[in-house]
Amino acid sequence: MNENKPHNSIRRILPAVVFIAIFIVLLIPLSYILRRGGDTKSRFMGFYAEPKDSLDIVMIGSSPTYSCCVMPELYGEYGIKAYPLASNVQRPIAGQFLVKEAEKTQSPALYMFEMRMYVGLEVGLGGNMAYTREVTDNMKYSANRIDAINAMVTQHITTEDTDKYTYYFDIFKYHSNWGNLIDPVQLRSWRFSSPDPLKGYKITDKVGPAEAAPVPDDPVPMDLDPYEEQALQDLLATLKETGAQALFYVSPYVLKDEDAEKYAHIRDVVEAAGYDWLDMNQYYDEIGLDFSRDFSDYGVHTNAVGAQKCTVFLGEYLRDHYDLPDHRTTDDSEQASGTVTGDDPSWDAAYALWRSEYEAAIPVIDRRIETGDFFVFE
Amino acid sequence: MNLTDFAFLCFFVISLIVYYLVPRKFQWGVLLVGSIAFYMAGGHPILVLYPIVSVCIVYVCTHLMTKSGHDTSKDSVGASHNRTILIIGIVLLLLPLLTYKYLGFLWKMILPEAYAASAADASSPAWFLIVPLGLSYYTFTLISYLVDVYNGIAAPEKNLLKFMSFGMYAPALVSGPIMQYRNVSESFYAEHPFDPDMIARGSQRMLWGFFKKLVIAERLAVIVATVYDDPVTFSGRFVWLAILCFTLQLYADFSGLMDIVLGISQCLGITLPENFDTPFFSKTIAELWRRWHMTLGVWFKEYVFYPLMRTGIYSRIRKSLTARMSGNKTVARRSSESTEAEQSTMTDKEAQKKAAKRAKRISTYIAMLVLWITIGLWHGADITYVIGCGLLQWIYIVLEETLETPFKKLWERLKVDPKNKALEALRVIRTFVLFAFSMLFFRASSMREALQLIGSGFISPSSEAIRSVSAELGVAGGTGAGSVFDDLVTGLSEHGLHILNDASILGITYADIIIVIVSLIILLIVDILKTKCDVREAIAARPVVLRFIIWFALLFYVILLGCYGPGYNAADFIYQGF
Repeated sequence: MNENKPHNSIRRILPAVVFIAIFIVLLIPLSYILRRGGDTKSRFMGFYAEPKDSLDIVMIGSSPTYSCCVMPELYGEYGIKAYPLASNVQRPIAGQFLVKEAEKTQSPALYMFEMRMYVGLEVGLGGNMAYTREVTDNMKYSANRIDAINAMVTQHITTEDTDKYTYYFDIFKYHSNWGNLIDPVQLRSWRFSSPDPLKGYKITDKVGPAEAAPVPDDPVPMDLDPYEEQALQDLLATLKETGAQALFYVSPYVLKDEDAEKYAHIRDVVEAAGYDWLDMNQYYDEIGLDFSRDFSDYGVHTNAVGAQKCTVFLGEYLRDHYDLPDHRTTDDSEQASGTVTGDDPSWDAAYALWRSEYEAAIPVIDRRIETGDFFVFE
Repeated sequence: MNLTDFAFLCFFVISLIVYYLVPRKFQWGVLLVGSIAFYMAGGHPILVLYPIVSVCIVYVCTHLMTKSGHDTSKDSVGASHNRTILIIGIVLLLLPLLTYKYLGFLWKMILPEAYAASAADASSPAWFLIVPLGLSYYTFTLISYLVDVYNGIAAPEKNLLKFMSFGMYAPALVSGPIMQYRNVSESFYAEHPFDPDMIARGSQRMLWGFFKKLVIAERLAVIVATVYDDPVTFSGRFVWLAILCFTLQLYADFSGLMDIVLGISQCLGITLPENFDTPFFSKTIAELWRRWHMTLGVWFKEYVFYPLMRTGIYSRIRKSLTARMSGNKTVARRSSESTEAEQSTMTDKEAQKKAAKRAKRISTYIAMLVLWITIGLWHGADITYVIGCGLLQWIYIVLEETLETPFKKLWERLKVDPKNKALEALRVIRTFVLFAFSMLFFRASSMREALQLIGSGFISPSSEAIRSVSAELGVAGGTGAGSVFDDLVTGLSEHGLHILNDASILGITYADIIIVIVSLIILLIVDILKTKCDVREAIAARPVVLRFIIWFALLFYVILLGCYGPGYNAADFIYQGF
């Protein structure tokens, strides 16, 4: 008789409800901790750790985004706070979802999109799901993440690793990383929010010399791969909703003619949509790039020296073209000594850290060039 | 869809919600729809017709039997009619089972090359290589129902769809337990009110099943495969280790699956028969088989062994044996020139009694031989199954029975208490070792492989071969001695704790080896506790905090240490193939 009484039923269900609730509460941080460690995880966690509405620029794109632009330098020398939501071989389709992700905590005056992956082919980009996981498995659990997974995890190129549930619940993928549970660095990721010491920038002292390819003056626009074209259109539509300014740019590298033609097409599209375009390949001299010294892997990514030069160029460009605030409170004499103070000590520390790492990298780079100790692909 | 798949778990949760939301009198309908959906999701939707047709056959047969009444006495016309229906029904049910199980075998024997080519072509395999899911399990369940209705010990179900929900009950389709309608129907068709405690208990049992399958069985499977695939390199102690590991793997895999199936059923309020009762604590092989795959044993006993004992052939064998044995004795006695007639009459009677007893025993052994060969063949049309799961078991049991009396006398003479704990422990170990040895044949793909493996077991592993495999596997700390322990100690001293994530000579990492050992200890402790109490009930009686700690510990243990997800290819359950 008592079984039918509502309060009795609630009393019996309650432990189960509490159990499930505790389980979820424990599972979320656990799965964050178990996610594969590395610079992308650190970079994304760093983004989530930035105070609300504190960033001037959010940069989105693949590896050149965080290897070509030195965010601490941009802050220390130009007072601009930029942060890259970037990952290795980031698929263009991720762009729109990363904008939405950024909008949750930031209202940047400017979005910058590194466009190198847009000239790629979907067969290469969508064929390796590791590139997708670099993005989805480094986002906090949210509805936007689910949308990103739904859009990115498809079987149009490959069927390997395309079970969506393993993306929704990435613990299916990473549960065996239980070594993370005794790693203090990874334990800090329980909220998936932890400051990144270099604000997303990845410094390298490796050297892979290259020769600059001639850059076509006026290439004939060439269509993109249809998937990347669609990704660009979706990104533009998302940007329209945010109302933010956007700069679509290409970082310097050994340019191919076909890529230059595709960039010409992208330039036409984004300019028609009312956004800015900057191809840094047109400014090797202005940047002062030395392809035999400034690249870490034979003309693909800049090393510490190349990145410093590119950042100076970008900093000048941003100051000239956009009205961005200066977050520094340091006077000029202090700045000359390499110390900066501003409204957020973590950025000051990032600048100081970068300077010391950069200064340590210069002799290493010189020595490598001298001894021919060049980068080896793994 | 596998029972450990995430998709299945989602499917189960949805089914469970619907099951408790629909009016209780239609709960069986949810089971039916769910079972059909589960079957169709298995990969070949058309195959769902097999269980449906089988259920319809049985339904028609029992319907016809009911029409002619339940009188099964020998003289009745109705009995003869029913017997005919029963035989037709059984033949029709067995037809697909025999075709699927043994046609491939015949083809393999006659045209091995064509068979191999077809088996290798995953895109278009021969039709009989795509066996309907749970074929032998639902067939046996349906035969038991048919026979029970014929014998009048089960009331036939009048509603075809309702009966179909029983005959096609999805969780039991995968690998049993083989259900007896007369024992299950009451719980199956009862109205089940939503009971959180029941669902909690069922989920706990499922979790325990996942622990056995994903944490233990999947890891042991790698060790077993490493040795079985290369018995030349992994000879000597590796072979015995692999045999031991396979027996434990089989137990963890099959009993784990049963825990999942019984847990699912418990969540639905359905009580299914148990299939395992801590079999490795058995003191004899006969006892082990009463505690291992219990429903199969019961089925064969009730529907093969006892009917076989009741057949005319069996009686004739017994009579002929009795006659031959008593005849021999009489001749022997006559030749001993006994003089006293009275004494002769007495001894004649005694001799006849003894002969009858002996004849009964021998004829029982003959019936058992038929039974065990059938059990072996049930596992698969291969000599390895006939030997591993049939003949060897029969030999063990016959030896146990015949040696029982001499051993009793021996213990008496040595003044040893036969119930001595050490002796009992030795019996448990002996039983396990014998069973493990027979399972060597079960795992081997051919007799040749099995014999090669046994041969390898007596050859010491070559250090050179081990060193070469160690290098190939990238075994860290590899001493070349082929000792995992030595490799681990060397690796720890040279590389520190990082060595734990490196591959060992056994094909799994050192960390995996430690996890397996710890998990087996947990399994052993729980199995010991199970012989004393209902472990889940005992936990349920504890304070809520302690309960939560225990279940969270197990839950996260499985989540973290289970072998599942991308990168892992969780094998099908071993008994799913039967």
